[in-house]
Amino acid sequence: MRQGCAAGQRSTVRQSPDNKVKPLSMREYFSGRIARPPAAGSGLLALAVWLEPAAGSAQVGVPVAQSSWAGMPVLVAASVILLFFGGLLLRKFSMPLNNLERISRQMADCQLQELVSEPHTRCRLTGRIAANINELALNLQEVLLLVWNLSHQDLEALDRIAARLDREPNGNRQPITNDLEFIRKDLEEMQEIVRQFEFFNVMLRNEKLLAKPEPASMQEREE
Amino acid sequence: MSKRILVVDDSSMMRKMITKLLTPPGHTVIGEAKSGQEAVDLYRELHPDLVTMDITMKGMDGITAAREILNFDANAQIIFLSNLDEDKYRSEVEKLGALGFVNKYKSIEILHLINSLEK
Repeated sequence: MRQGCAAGQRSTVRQSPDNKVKPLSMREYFSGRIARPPAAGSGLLALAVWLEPAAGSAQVGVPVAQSSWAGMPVLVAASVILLFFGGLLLRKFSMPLNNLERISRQMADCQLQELVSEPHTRCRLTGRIAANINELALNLQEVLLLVWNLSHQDLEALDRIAARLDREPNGNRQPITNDLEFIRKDLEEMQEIVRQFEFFNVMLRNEKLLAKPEPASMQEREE
Repeated sequence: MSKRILVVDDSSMMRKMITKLLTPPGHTVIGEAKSGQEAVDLYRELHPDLVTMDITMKGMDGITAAREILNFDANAQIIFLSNLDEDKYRSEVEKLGALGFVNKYKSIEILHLINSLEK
């Protein structure tokens, strides 16, 4: 016999054969012979188990709690499958975002050597964001390398001018020497900014820009 | 003489700058590629007169792409535009069969080299 009560409330009374309402004994309450409604927040699974006999499938003479357990394996299996696919789905969506977050953080820290892996299908929003971030990083790298090359070239020009000035006989060279020194410092500072970065496929070695060795292509080149 | 040019560079900013450099003298940029593989595919499809090729790119690099293009068409005209050290890479790309190596920021030299090439 099922006791009527509001959802989430545990019934503590039962109707006796002489139609009198009597309180449940502790033994009856905990024995499971009388079906109890699920406690608040105990979930869909418990609700389904509780409702099962109400659908008319409970057998005569079989305790309600026993017939409820009969559907349990199916529900557990369904829950496991749901959890599994839910987890897969969650992983599918969260992994590219985690990757995006990690690499964009690196880029913000002047580490441009790693690009975000773009998902194969470009129509996905994360894929498009990844492509845009990569493009931003490559353009930034291009500007920095341009700054490096131009400043390097200008420093060489300054050296030539300074050497020529040194060969001049007399005259007050101090103003122009000061200007040259000012320009030199600016250029060196620009180069210092570039040195803070790690680049994608490119490295600075002995003041020269070189391609980073890639095993596959290097082997091909050596052949 | 105006040329139909394929611009290959992984930076969209650089592709834009090269296009801006080449268009006023009368050249036509018929395609842009941002990787070596795209360059090879577009070359086969468009048959440009000239390819400007970057060296370092994601996926297939410019040297491998140039080798594939030259295998497909031994008469392909390819010049390398790169930020990398000229002394180190010029001989390598010329050995490959490319027509030259110019630093990307040297716009006048790029135009001189292109204009010096015969169709």
